[in-house]
Amino acid sequence: MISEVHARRILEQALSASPAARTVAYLMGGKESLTRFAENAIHQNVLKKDYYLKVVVEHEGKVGMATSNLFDPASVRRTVEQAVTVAKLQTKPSRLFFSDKVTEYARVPLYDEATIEMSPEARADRVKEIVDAARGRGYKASGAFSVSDWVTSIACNSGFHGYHTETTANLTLTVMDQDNLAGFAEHAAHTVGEIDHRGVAERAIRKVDLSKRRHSLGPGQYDVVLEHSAVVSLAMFLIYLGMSAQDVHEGTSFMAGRLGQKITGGNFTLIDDATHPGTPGRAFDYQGVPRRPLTLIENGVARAYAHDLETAEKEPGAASTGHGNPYPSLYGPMPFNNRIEPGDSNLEEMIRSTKRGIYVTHFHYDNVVDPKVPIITGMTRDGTFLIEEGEIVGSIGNLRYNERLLDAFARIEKISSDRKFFFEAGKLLVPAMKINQFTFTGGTPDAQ
Amino acid sequence: MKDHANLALNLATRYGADYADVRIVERDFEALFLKNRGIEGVVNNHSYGMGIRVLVDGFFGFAANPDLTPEKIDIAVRRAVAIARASARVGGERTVLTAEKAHTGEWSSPWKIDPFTVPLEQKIGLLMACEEIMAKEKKVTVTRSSMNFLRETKHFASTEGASITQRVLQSGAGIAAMAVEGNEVQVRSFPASFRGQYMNAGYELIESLKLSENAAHCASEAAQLLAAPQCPSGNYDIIIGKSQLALQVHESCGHASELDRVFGMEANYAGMTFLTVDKLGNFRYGSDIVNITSDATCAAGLGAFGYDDDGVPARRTDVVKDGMFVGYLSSRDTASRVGLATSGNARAEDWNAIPLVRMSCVNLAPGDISYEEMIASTERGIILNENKSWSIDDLRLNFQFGMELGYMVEKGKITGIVKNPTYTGITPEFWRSCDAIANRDSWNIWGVPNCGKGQPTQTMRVAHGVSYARFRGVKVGVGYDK
Repeated sequence: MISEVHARRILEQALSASPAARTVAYLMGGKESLTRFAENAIHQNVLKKDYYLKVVVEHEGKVGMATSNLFDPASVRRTVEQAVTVAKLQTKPSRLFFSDKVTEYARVPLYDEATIEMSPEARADRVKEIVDAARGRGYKASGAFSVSDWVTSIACNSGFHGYHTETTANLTLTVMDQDNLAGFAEHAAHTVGEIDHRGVAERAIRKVDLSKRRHSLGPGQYDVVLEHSAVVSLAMFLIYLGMSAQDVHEGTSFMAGRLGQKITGGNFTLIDDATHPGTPGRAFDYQGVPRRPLTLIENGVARAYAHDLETAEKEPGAASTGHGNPYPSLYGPMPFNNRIEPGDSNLEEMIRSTKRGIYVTHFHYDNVVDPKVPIITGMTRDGTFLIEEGEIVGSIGNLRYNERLLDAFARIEKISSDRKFFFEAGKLLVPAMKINQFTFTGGTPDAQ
Repeated sequence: MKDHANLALNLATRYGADYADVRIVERDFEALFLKNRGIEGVVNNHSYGMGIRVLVDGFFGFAANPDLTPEKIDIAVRRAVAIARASARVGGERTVLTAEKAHTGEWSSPWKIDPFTVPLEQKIGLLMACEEIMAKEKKVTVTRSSMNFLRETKHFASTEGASITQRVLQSGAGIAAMAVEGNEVQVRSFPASFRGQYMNAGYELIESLKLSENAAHCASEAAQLLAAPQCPSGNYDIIIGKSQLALQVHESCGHASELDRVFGMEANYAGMTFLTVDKLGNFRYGSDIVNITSDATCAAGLGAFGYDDDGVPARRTDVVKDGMFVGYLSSRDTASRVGLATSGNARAEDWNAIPLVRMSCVNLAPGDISYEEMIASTERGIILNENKSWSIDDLRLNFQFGMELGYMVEKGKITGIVKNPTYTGITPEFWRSCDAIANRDSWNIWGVPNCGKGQPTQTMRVAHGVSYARFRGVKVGVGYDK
């Protein structure tokens, strides 16, 4: 990992080499080791490492940017020169949005040496335990086990310096039997010590066991019990489609004109908070603004969306909420440390309370049908079960859903008290949910 | 590059690799983004590094590093070998590579005008002119235009004696107009959605796209869509073309025929395929007018190359012939498992990624009817072009697509536009309903620059040559019919 001293030295070289009135230099990157396995054998096992320097300048009223993954002094100077050249060639004025204030920020300790130093042998040994568990049942295990680190270091000639590092560990697992009946489970954390690979294996294997009794169920509207992994898919689209001030200003966000209005059920609350222990993150955004908690939806009422310095200027009374992204911020500000507030239920209770419905492990290939309503489509996958009279009675084929997202979140019957963490849409901490009358419009041929 | 590669290969052999290959890649990327007649961003990236892949006792290991000093190359090679040995601890199927001649040579993609020598002012000027034209349409609230260019030099070498250097230049551009009114958001793009058309080409491609000539029409249609009727729901004959047919081929045939999916190599992420090995040669994928090939030799296609990342020369492979499923996209390690020759489709996103089975150019052969004749012979149908949304299941069977607009066809004539069209189907049922494919007059090769696969995810640039095709009795209007 690039140390703070080393990063600062490179950034200072870039700042010193720049003739621009305003210069921001970013040094970002990291290392990732990923062990991938299929049908009980490791088939891809990789290590990659890369860092890049991004220099953004505002020179004579125009912005230019260049990046490179070379950090020797000559290359740093060349990157700066390229950014300045691009700025000079711009035909219209533009601004580099970065905070003028130099604010102290809290250090957030998310780096674990043992995680990034985990050897390929140690990863292989954990995979072997998973594979042995699957093989013992006559099943095939496929998955990915990764550890990574990431450094974000920023310097501005205003005097701002920011440095943040974190590690991640992620295990996803799909177990299948000889008929390709599948079960999926996953676990994500900031340290590899927290990853419960045995628990993940048990959950995935149990789903394959449960899948043996097959049922046929066609499209329709059903109550659904969504595992945390399925809720993540819906939550991601809620955030991406609604929560950027840029989209609000352009009229494409469902939050446009609706602050203070009820847009989901009253039991739904979504908060972005990089200071929360469940979704911790960098204390400063990419424009040097401190990150603060932001309640997006509170008890179903639209409360706020994310601003950066540029969008805040366009909205009277608004201020940056600390969600700025690096230039060019094509998608605008975005909240990346989101949590859905818990309820008081659990998966077992949700199943027991369901007369006839579907248990969904996770979704696949979700996409936007309509961004404003919004309408989302996708497929179920790897563990989709029929619930009858409060019990899982067997598996069904995969179904396609088409749902109006806000309407779905208005029909949440139960929310679990436990939540799981995911490296999705940045970071997400979500509960499981039971939603009434979820719309399925089709399925794979054996589901018809 | 060659010296670094040779050092890495020698070290790999010394440390116990039975096979090793190295890719050293230098890449320059430039992108311009304009929005609402302002410059949203100008991106200028440079990247350089090496990836080494080793095979030790039948297991792969891979390590990548941007630092090519001898010390760092040594570390990367040691790591790759250690990773391969670690893989063996789990046991299982050992990797065997198909026999291939070791090739030496060079290849360059075709281009006339180096886009990196074209002044930035000229590029911005072209896009700004489009922005100004689109902005004249009052109902258009957001205008977007962009260009991007990629220049890459890649050196591949292997312990079998391969030594190949390839140079690729790629260009792409597109414009889009967005009209917003109340709860309606409508977008029209040109020449294709998701930032346009991309090819292995120089700046001459940008000039040939005629962006400014089409900007007014683009904006006008976006505005018209606000008041257009909603696409009806029901079963219709549909005519699809351009980037939508390209994406249909991509999702339901290109991905479905990737051999690694058969062996569960993507089971945990991108999914598997319904095209299992028992179907090879005896499964009716489509009607007998459907012919689909994987062809890395059509040099101007975005997915074309001289040699894949196994060092195999570009090849043309039949995937669907006269409607029958006859071939896979494969690599040396996957092809060996079914006793076939590789189709030469091993590709890695960059120097820091491992090769996977990826598409090159997967093309639907043109038919023998003109597009005009196709419309004239359609009693009741909808023409669907630019893609807006796509989704397909983990076996590549159930799909759903959304487009920017549809043109209604009644009694052989276009009668009006509809908004928010969607259609859904099951892959073989859909392709078996194909009863007409337009001829070469409307055949074009469309670039898809954002194909995702693998863990870690890799984005690949691929292409699809298509004209127009008609499909009978397709379910249209899903998602909006609640």
